[in-house]
Amino acid sequence: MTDPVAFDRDVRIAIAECIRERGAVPPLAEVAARVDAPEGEVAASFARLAAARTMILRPGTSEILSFNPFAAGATEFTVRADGRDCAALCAWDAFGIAAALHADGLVLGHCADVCGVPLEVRLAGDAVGALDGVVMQFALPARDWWTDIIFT
Amino acid sequence: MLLFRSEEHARSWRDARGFPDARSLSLETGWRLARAWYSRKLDPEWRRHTLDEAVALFDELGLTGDFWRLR
Repeated sequence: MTDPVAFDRDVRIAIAECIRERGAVPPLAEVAARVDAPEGEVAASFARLAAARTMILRPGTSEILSFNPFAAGATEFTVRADGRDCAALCAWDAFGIAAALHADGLVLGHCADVCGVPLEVRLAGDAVGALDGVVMQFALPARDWWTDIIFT
Repeated sequence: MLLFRSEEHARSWRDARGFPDARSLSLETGWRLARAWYSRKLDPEWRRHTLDEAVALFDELGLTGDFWRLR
């Protein structure tokens, strides 16, 4: 029987490789092909990785919603980094994409208040560039983040 | 975590949505937090931060007080 710890590592690395190659979070079927394992075994691995908070699954499915900080599909935050556009569930993850790719990044989002004004944040080395006054905000205290990680 | 045009907009949002304890932070601190948190996520040897490491990181970034308490 496959060692689940080693298998989960292989699955995690396969997901990371897909992201490095094209900036996209892969579907389960693609990961299964990459690790040459049945989809059911990969789905079980996804569940373990999600339980370990390595990633978030789309509710009620075995597909990845976010291999944090990289989200699958369009979101409110787009990050241009390393020659590609990536999606993030939140501002922290948007910044995290540039960090994970070790690249400068341009975060495209909007003010979450009623004004909804488009906001851009440039990340380059240690420098951050944006309109004066732009801030980030956590709605929930840190100990509750994983109670509703998508909202946090 | 969301972006806001200004602290005023952040305050307006938390008042309207009923999150009086929400906390804003500067983009610079957010960038430092993101780099410390995610810079190794795609590495084969990546592992989650331990609770002690996360607490130390928050302390280093000045994210202290009850809102930022992890345990």
